Amino acid sequence: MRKSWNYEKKQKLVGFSFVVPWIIGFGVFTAFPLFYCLYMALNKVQFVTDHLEMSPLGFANFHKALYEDAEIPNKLMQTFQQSLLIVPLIVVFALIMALMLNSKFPGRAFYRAVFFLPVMLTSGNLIATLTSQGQGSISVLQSGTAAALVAGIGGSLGETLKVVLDNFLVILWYSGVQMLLLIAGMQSINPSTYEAARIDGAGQWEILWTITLPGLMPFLFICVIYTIVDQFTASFNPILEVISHHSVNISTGYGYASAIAWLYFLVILLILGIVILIFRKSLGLTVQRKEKKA
Amino acid sequence: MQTRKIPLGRKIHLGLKHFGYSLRHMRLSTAVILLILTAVALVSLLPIVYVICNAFKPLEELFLYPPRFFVRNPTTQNFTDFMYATDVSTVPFTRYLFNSVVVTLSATALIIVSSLCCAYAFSKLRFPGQKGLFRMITIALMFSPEAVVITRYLVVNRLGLIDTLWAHILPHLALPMGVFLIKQFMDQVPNSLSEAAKIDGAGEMRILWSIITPAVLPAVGAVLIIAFQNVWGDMSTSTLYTVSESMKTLPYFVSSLTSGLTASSVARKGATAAAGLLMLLPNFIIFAVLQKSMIETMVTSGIK
Repeated sequence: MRKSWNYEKKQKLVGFSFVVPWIIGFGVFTAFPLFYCLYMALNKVQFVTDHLEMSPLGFANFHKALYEDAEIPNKLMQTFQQSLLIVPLIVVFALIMALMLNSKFPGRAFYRAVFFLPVMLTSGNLIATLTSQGQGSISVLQSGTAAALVAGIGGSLGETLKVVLDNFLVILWYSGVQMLLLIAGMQSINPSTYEAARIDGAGQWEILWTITLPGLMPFLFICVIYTIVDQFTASFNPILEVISHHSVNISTGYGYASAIAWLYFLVILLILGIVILIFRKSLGLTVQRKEKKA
Repeated sequence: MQTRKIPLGRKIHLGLKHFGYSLRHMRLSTAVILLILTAVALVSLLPIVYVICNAFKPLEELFLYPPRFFVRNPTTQNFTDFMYATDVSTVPFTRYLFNSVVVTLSATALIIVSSLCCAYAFSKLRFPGQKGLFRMITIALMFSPEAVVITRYLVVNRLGLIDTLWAHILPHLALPMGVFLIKQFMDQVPNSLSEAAKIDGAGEMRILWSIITPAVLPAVGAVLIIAFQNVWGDMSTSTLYTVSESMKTLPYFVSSLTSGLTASSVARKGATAAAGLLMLLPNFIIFAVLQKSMIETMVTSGIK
């Protein structure tokens, strides 16, 4: 591999020029506010008519959030537990639906279209519409839907079914994009691999576990990350409500809200770290396999 | 070779397109799959049905407690109310609509183009600081916009963007999820593909546009959906970064219909329900446009 120095230099410049527009936007509207926010968390922030007044506090805001405000550790823990439960459920559900939508059956194109519509409508926008209509439309819808479905059953069985359906709706609403990603991932597995496995006499179940799932690992990883982000940054998340509340609360101030935001951020990072650790092995394996092939 | 036992997994054939089945198995598994898919599809369509029903409910049904799911006496009164509300607003309704359309279209287009370029550089090009930057983006995924509301406002203010349409567009542009999603998909595209094109003399832009992008269309589609929904439904940029009515967007107008507890805002409950349905129209349009191409791509030209 003999490349002139000039060529290398040019390549680097090309690489830079591709990321620069995005990075500038990112730096200005996300990274800078983020660190400014951390700076504010270390200060007492007060709004004076036309500017902000800050007085350094050290870690007092963090200390207050963790030890004095009983609400914060509680809510952090609560969000952590909830996500521990809901994220795997959403991903597994999306995986099952994607596997089904990807298998061969009559009218597959029609069903894919039918599933694509809720993806378009229910991930976010519709929920926002419902929230803006007020008076807890979402809960009405949840119980309304469940009630309409179990109306004919009645009794305690009906009640149980209603609870299951209530939660099922949430899972369903938040798994649309994941389904899309996983179906795309399944297309990336070479059909000849399946053929070879079939010729070698592998059963469906074995093929699922030894070919489909390992091949899907990178995409499952994407899905898990997406789900975590989606769940943790949804604006009706309890902890974000606390943050929004403190942002405009004069007595506690924006510095305190920033401290909570950063604590929350650290909790999510912890979860992200765990996910990356879990997937590291399987992701590493796929990369190795690809390199061997190439 | 007499009676061969059929493994359990055979009945539900999972994720296998190129598999020869005996007709009997296929029928059973197909029936099971169709049954489950139909049930799930019906349930997932219910929220849409609910919004449609709401839009046609007369006022007394909207205020009914406990609320009813389906509409009993459908009426178009809500749409008339909505038209009336748009007539009396200080700024013509079309102005909000125009703002929303311009903002959504340009922001979505810019998000997709910049994310594609950025993801391409991270996935296929080499430059110093690459790893560190990408790690930063992955971490930034986790930070929600609600938490940086005030610092972001300060930035927008400092840049002199307050009360311009740019204030609606620019803060949305750096969507870490966009870069992350597309980059992960690009990683699955073999390098040999782009290298071959490079040997044939194609420039980076050309490779990105005609070789890599078609291969990651599903990810682009997903980013398009996420970006569109982020921008179209976002009211916060209107309330935070704009002052004059003529710079605000549709979601703000819709929510202002029912703000305050005056008699007229109660009467406008119906108008809001109608507006809720109308706000979903662009989603239906995107669905109609993307449906065919997205699903076809998903079937035929996966990343191979």
